[in-house]
Amino acid sequence: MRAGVKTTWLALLSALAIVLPRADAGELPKLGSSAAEVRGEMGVPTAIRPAPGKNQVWEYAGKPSPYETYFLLFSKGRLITIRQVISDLTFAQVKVGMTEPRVRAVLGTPWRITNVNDDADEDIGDVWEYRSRDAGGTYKLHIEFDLQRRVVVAAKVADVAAGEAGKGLATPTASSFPDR
Amino acid sequence: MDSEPNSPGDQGGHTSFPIYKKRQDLLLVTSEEGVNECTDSTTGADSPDHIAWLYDISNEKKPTQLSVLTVPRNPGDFCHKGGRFGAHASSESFYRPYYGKLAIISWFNAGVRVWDIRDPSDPVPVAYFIPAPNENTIANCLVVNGKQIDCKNAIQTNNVELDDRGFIYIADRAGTGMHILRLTGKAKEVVVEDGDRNDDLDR
Repeated sequence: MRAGVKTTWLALLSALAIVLPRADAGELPKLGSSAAEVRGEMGVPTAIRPAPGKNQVWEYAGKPSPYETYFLLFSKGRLITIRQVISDLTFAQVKVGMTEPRVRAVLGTPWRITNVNDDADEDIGDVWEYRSRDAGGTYKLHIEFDLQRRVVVAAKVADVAAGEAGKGLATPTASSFPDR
Repeated sequence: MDSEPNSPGDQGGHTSFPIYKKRQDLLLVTSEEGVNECTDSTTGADSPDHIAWLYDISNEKKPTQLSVLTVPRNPGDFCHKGGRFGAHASSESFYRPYYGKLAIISWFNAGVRVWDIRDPSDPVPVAYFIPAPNENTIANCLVVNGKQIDCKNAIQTNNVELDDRGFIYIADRAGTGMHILRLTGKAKEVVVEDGDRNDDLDR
């Protein structure tokens, strides 16, 4: 039973590795590479997390491009799958009420974590943002948490540079009322 | 104070800035806007804009409201630009060249707003600057009763301060950055017309 679950899980990951978009495959290590080879090609991972079956997931956030985060699954010291996790498909898994560790397990390390709270009395949690791109251009995944560190807002927002330039919104406006 | 300033609804004092003049002591008070897109986050109803006021505090025990400083929702469609639209904070510098002449207030998605307050009973808007959102701007989301409505890239001018050269510094709450401004046109004339005399000021 346990082996069956493991097999199913690995098969699912392999399927995702095929389905999900990858950047320039030439920049990514080959399946079957050793951990040392991967580290040599991609550098130190952003995070290493345990995976079922004594496997490991190495996360490379914002590498090789700032719009991608890769999860590399190792089994017995060898790279068995690569998947780019910042996508509509994975983002759809983020639901209101989800905890921060769960979001991190789905999307990896955020590009930026901010908090606009300037008052201890305010109940504003952190905002996590991820950068990515699709056929429509670059965008951010915007996730707001409450003070209990659970998701309250999850939105895909077009980048200003890509989505609003040319529409007049990316130009500052000023006036010293010359006609008054 | 024996009496509360006459401020409507849920307006409150975020910043109070005294302006001492020879003939009259003033107090510039700003409320702080707290809702996104002019919308009550519980009911979804329209929420009145938070604004600013000038009071005569020559008699501190009996402050008198002289005028109201507001920014219209249009032109600009500020209630649909994203984030907060309303007053937040004024500059708090007690030195030349603008002290006693100009009220300079951060107004969230309407940027920084400047009024000629040489006649405090009739403040005249003389300048504004609204930064553009950029790739660092954090989106602001409208959520009503727990339901996510939309998220927009909106600037949120949060604070404003000055230096003795007349430069105006504004900082954005939504991560857009800091802008350094100088006055031009009518706003600059307000200062130039009076030169550097500030004859009407106590100090």
